[in-house]
Amino acid sequence: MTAIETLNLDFAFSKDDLVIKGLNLKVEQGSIYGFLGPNGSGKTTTIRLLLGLLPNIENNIKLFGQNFKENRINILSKTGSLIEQPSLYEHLSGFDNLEITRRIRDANKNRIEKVLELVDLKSASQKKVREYSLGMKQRLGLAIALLSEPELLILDEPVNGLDPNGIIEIRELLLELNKQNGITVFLSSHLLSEIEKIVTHLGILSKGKLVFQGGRNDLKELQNHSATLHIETSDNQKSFEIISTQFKAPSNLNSQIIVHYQDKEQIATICKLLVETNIDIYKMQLQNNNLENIFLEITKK
Amino acid sequence: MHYLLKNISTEFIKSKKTFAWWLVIIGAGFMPAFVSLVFLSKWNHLVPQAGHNPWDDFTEMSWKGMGFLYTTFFIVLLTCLFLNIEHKNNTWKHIFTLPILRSSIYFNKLFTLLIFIALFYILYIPIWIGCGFTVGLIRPQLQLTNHSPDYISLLSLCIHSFIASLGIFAIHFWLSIRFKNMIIPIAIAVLGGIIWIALYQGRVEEITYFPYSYHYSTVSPPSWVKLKMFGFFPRHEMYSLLYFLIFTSLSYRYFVKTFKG
Repeated sequence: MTAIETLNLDFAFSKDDLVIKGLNLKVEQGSIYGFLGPNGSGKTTTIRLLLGLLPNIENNIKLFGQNFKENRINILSKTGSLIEQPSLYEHLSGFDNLEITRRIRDANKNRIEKVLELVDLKSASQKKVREYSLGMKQRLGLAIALLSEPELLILDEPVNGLDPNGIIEIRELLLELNKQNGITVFLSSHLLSEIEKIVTHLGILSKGKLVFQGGRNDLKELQNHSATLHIETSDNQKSFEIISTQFKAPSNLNSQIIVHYQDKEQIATICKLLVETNIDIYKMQLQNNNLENIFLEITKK
Repeated sequence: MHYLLKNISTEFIKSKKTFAWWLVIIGAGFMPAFVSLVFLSKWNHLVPQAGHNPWDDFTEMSWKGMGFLYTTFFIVLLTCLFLNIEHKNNTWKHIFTLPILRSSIYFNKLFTLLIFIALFYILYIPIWIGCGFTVGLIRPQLQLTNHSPDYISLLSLCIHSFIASLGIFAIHFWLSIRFKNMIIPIAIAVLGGIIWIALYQGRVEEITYFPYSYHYSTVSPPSWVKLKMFGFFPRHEMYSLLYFLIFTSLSYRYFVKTFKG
C-alpha cells in the first residue's frame, strides 16, 4: 500500500510559471523516502501541496490511498509534519508547545512525557523555547510531529542547521521510528550524504520534475553504473588507444585515463592488454560514484 | 461543545506570558485609577451638593474617558497582539497541518478574543467600584461611601459598550488576519480616531454610520443626531452589530478560502 501518491501533479504560483511539473510520487508504507533536490527545485512546494498548505485544484494527491481534499482531517490525524524551521511559540515552554498540539490532536496526556524522552528534551521541557538552541528547536518540532503516534512523518529538511551530533541523533531517531513503530518517513533534504545513509527509497527532483525514483537497489545499480576506473600508466596516450579498441568511451584527462566501470573482468582485461604491450601500470583505481555525484549528474541534465 | 472548549483552551495557553493579558488587566484598571486620581486631586471642586449622588459624576467621568478612543484602542491593540502570536512565530503553517477545520480555527480565535473583551468589562466593574469606594474613604467629603453606584446602569453601560465595540472589533479582526504587520491596523485605527473627532467637531449627522464613534455615542449620544431606538438598542449599536456581521463574514471567507498563513 502506498502512503503517498501523486498523479501528474502540477503546480504554479503564477499562470506561466510551473513550479511542479507532472510529479508522480509513490511512497510505499513503511519506507524511508528521501526527497532530494537542489534549492529551488520544488521540494518545499511539493510538501506544502501534500499537506494541503497550497491548493491542489486537480485533486490528484492521495495519502493512505485517500484523496486529500475529501479526507483532509482523517489524513492529517495520521500524519505528523515538520516544515522547514519548526513552527514554535517562542514565548512558551517546550511543554506548553506540546500541550497545544496534544489538545488539538486529542492525544493521550502521557504522550508528552514519551515524546520528550524520545527527543531527549525532558530536562528542558519547562524552559522557554526562545532559550532553546536550533538543534533543540528541531527536536521539539519532531516531538510535536510525533505526538499523535502518526503513521506517516513528512519532514522538510529536518537536519537543516544541526551540528554533526544533532544530525546523527535525528538520523538514528528516524531509523528507530521506522524500524520499531513502522512509521513511514518522507524527508526532504539537500544534505545528500545524510539521505544516502538512511533512506530505503529515493526521489530526485530537479526544476520541478522527478528525474529519479526508486529503491535502494535501483540506487546501487545506478551507483555501479556510474562507477569509473581511473588508470595511470607509463604511457597514457598509448594506453588510451589500446583501451579504446576494447571499451567504449574512455577519456584521457591529463595524467589519467577514465573508463566506465563494467565488472571485475574488465579490470583484468585492461591489465592484460597493457602488460602485453609493455606499459607499466602506476595506478588503477575504482571510483564508486557516491550519491552526491549522481545527484549532481542527474540534476545538471 | 467539549471540543470547542478544548480548542479555545489552546488559545489561552498561547496567550500565556504575552502582553495581551497585561493589556486586559491594565486596560480595565487604568481608567478607574485615573479618574480616582482626578477625584483625589480636584476633590474640592467635586464635593456634591445636597441630594446629588457623587457616583453619577464618577460614572460620567469614567465612561466618557472610556468612550473617548480608550476602549477602541484597547480592542484594536488586543486584537493585533493576539493574532500576532501566530504571525510572529510563523505558526499558521503548523496549525493548518493539524486535523482541525479551518472554520474551527477561525471561530476559536474569534470567540477567544470576545472572551478577552468580555473579561475586560468583567474586571472593569469591580475595579471601578473598588476605586470609587477607596476615593470615598480617603476623601469623605466626596460622600462616595454614603451613596452607592447605580449597579443596573453600570451593567447596562457595560453591555451597550460591548455591543458598540463589536463593529470595530470585527473590522480589526479582519485587518489583523489580513496584515502581518501590526502597524497597518493600528494606523487605520488612528486614522479612524482622527476622522471621528473631525466628524464630532463638525457635528456631522453621518457620524452614526462611522464605527469608530460608537463607543462615545453610547456614553454620550451626539445631540445633533436624532436618537432612534431599536428595542433595547440605539441605532448606532444596531449598526455596530451590522458591521460585526459584515466584517466577520468577510474575514471568515478570507481565512477559510484564501489565507495561507
